[in-house]
Amino acid sequence: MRLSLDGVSHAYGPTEVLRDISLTVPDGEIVCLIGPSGCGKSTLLRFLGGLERPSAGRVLQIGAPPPGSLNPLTYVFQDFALLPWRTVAGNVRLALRGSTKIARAEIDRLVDDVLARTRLSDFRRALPKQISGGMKQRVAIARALAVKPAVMLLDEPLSALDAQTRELLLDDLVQLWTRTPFTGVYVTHNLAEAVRVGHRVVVLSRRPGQVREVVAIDRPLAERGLADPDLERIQARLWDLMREEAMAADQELADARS
Amino acid sequence: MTDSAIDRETQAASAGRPANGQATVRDVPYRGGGFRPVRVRWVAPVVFALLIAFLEYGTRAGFISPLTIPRPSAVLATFAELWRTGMLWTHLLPSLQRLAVGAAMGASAGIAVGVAIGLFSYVRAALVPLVAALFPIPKIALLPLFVIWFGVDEGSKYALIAFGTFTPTVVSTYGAVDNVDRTLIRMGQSFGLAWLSIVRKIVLPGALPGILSGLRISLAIAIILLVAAEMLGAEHGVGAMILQAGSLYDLERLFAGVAILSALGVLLSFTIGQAERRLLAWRA
Repeated sequence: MRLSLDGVSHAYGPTEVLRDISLTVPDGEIVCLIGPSGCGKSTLLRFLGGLERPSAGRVLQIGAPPPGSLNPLTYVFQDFALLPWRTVAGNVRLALRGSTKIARAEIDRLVDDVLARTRLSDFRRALPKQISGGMKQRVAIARALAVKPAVMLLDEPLSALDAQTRELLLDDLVQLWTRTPFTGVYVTHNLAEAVRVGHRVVVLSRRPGQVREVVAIDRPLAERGLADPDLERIQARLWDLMREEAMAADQELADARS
Repeated sequence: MTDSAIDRETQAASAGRPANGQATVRDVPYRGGGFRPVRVRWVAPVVFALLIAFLEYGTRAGFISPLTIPRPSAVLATFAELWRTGMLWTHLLPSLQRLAVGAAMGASAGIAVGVAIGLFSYVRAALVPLVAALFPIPKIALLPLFVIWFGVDEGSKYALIAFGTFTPTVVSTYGAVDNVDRTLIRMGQSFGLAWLSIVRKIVLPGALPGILSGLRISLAIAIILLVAAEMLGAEHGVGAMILQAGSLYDLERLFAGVAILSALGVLLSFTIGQAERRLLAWRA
């Protein structure tokens, strides 16, 4: 299944946030959306998953989701969005009960499987308050994987984590993708993350957000490491594209506040 | 100057002390701490015991006249007598029943209405101004009306307590529902949870802390109204007992009644505290 944006524009009241965005997310690839803060990248992601409606343009789903997919468009949120009163396993189970009527035994099997894949089996009874931020995001990723999404929508999934944890989770994500490739849209403001997990990187301009450039990165995800000179070159190029926009966006906020 | 002399000098300079003087070494003064409530268990009982002891001593020594404050030991003796003659239960049981029935009706209706206000914009638009208008009415003023509506017996007392508990519960409940983290609700929607599922599994548990802390206040109000209702017309009940004792100037009995009410309040607060500890163990 592919996702496609066709001439999407959006405004919150008088503020134009996005202008005429057309974009296709190919099957089995991760598309990264980067852009300065306030450029509407998270809004774009909410359109893709149907949590919000654009003022103009269409969000299209091309082809049927693969059989067995319980929740075709599945989010991973920046602040994890775990229910604090449910255990790790309970949080994963919540997503499964919501989708469709599946047998209890089947749910248990899915939960066990997905917790094993994210190496969380030992923590299934822990409450969110007992585990670290990185672990919480792994739970959220496990929950997303459990419903077998056709497209994973990741909204700055590593932004709330410290740098070391971020590296660990990046490796986890790459591993998960390598084992079973999934289609993903990955919103981030971190260029290093973008070049590590993106097959394509879409650079958005500052508000109103427009597509400035789409950069394809051919190297397989599994072969991309920390401090890879090729990736750093791409990262530098992305930064060149973004630098002025980011500065202008920063200025804009300062103006708005005064 | 020799090389070694220069060496010594630079060493001294880099350590930030005069080249010839003795270095002063002292601890960095501690400036943090404070502004953080610490749980100290023993203070409350000690303060309470000291206060009672002071009153006992004062009334015995004579610098507190028995007309101002009764002697604590006499209050205790009166309480023991109430217990022995069975009068304690004749007064306490009807009170407890009124409190239980009235508060249960008021709190459950309040939670239901509060959740409805939190969930539906039309209900909110319709009821929030109404609740705001009802909240400041002194409910005791309505007792004569309730007597006409619900009869002079238990009905009017239940109604008074229920009504008094209802309004604060509504306000705290819809506040609690409003405060449920919206990202959790979006998460529920993004996983395709049904509306009812979102309410049951996300909104209600998320609002529970606010609802429970609202109940603390509502139940204290219920006790106040219980006494007010019993003072205005009841044969038995802690409030009636206090009123009788007051008109006879039986201060020992009056204080025994007040102590019962106070204990009741502490008990309710403790019960809610326990409920919070069990139900809200997930809070960080």
